[in-house]
Amino acid sequence: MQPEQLMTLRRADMRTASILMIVSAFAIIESLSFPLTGNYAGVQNVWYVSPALFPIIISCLVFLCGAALLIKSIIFIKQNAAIGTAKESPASWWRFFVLVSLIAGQVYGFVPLIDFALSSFIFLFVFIFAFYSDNSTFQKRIFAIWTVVCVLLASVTFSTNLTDETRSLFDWTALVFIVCMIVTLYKWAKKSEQLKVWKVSWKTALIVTLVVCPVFRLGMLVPLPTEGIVINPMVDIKYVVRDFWREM
Amino acid sequence: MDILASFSVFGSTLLSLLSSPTNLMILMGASFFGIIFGALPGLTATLGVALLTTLTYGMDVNTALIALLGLYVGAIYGGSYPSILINIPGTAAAAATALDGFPLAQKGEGGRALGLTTTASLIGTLLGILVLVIAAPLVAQMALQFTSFEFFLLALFGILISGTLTSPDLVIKGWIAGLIGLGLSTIGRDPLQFFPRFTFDMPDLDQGLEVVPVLIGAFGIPQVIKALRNRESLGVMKQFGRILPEWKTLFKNRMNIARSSMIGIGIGAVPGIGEDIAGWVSYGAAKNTSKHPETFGKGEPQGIIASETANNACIGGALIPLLTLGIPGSPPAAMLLGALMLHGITPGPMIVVESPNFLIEVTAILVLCSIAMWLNGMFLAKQVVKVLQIPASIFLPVVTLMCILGSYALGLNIFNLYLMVIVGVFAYFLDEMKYPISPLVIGVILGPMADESLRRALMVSEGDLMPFIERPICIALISIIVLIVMTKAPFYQQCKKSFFSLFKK
Repeated sequence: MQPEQLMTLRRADMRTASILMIVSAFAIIESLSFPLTGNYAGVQNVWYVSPALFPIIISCLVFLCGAALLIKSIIFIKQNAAIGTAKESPASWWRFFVLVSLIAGQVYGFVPLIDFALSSFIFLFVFIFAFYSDNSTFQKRIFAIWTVVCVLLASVTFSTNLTDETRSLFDWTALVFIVCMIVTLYKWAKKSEQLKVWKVSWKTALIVTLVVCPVFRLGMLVPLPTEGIVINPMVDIKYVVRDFWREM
Repeated sequence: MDILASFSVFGSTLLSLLSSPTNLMILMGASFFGIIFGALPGLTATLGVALLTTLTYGMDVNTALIALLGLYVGAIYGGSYPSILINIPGTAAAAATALDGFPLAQKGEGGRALGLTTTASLIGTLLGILVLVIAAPLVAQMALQFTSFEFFLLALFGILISGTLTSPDLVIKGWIAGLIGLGLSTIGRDPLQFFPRFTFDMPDLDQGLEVVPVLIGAFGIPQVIKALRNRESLGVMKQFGRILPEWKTLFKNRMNIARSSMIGIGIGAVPGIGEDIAGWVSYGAAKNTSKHPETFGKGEPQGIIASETANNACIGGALIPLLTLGIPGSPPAAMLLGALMLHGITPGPMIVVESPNFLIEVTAILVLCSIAMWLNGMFLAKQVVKVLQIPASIFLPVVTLMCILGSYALGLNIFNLYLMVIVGVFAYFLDEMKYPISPLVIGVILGPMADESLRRALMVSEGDLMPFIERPICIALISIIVLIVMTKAPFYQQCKKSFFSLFKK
């Protein structure tokens, strides 16, 4: 490891150690509120059976290790004060933000609200396009659009109780969003002569969705997180075909 | 169980598994996908086992084990493909293979190198299995003497040793990772009094953190982020001809194979560390004992054989503590432990009492898995190489979708997905700051056992701590734990230096 990278690491260690000490101190305080010697659920506690015992031991050990790491980092930084720190490129950080927004947006925004087949398709399409094109402008634009849409969806999920009718309304809106994204990304790809990326993205997204959803839902009978305007008819068709087959 | 009875169980298990076409298909398929998982840089055996666990939920135990062990064995071997063909190890376990595998491929002997790794991996796995079948019952018999005191110390030892050996930077970071894992395991209602701990009135946390989303988050998400953030891509693939087993070269290397297997099994049996360390250690041993160490790094078959035999022998070694003590010997074994628990099997000392045939059945399945790996390696290598050419930017989004489905499918709970993302991003930052992830995961798995054992032990002794230093196994474990901590302390290093300087004078 280069000296600059080591210095960056030790500075990060210092911050992590401080956070660890704060969190473990909080855990110790919280653990002290657990029944130590009192009566809980008809059980008379003694210190060695208390639910607080193990968390207190672990938190104390984390606190001590954090303190040791903090001291080690401070000593290193003082001894090597002349060495600068290594900086990561902003482009790399952008890619990180795009990745986290794509994954978190899918999990917190799309999956709880939108039909899983639709959400899988749009997720794969956008994700593959953003990184297969390897174009930072596309990535930043996708980050902006995806974050806004997912924040809106997540706020709906966490603030209201939806009926089946309103859920299907969101599915149809998602379908419109998918069409808009396909058209928009086509335009971007055409402008930068990356039509191959666009084609590969939608084809892969479609094939994977068409394989994964039926395999899990129909093959392994695993209910998918949200079933709406695509998954429900798919299940219905399966039973219609099965009944028809039996009657034959 | 006597030897004849064991052989009869082994034979009947083999026959019953082989007589089912479904099992054979699953075996070959899992082994093939394992090789692909191992071969694709950014994907690992651990992630493969984690994702496959979800798919095995509806299967019976033996079929599930065929799939999981088939993938595990295949993935450890599969890492050698990109090591040899493009000089990028598919898994950390195959890093040492690249040192001599790639130069051999550059000489136009890629097929020979792959043939050697395939057969060396088969021999390594089989020797690992042999030791597993001999050692496991002995260890299990010994473990039957364990009480809550020993189990608590064993969990602590597992986390400390894995933290010490897997930390890429300061050792204390490995310990911190293990302790964080133990801390995370305390979330939820406590196992003895059902008191809610750190649940913050969230009903979803009452049951504690589910192991599978934590594992998928900890191993899957950081790899996706790391590979795409750093734009990891494959190099230009070297052409290779027919893959041949080269029995003659292997026979010449019989001592090398025996030594590497023993190293692999020994390292695999130590909780938390696994195939990657075994590969390097046995490569180093092969170089040190070779008559021509100068040829190492220039396409020396001895180097390839040493690292591949050791990393596959590790599988058998890692299963010894897993099956007999309930403590995983390597990160994929940690995932396997979670999978076994989901199928209603609790590995540990009682396994020889509750299911006396289980060890033999696992042995039979492992034998089949290693043969499937060899067949896939010999006849389907060119197909695997085609998959290797899929860009990471296409493959990894699909892996992410599988992570999402895998985390959801077991508990059918969207909260598990939220948990997976949080754990994933947290693990990514830990990884970036050179904290090892394996001790964290082992901590989450062993935490409930450690908590319950400690309190049960103290209940038995009515709060008296003396049994910890009165029982022989406890004394041994405490001595090892103290030794591990002491040897890493700065004052110990200073004492050691001043002690040796006395003799120098």
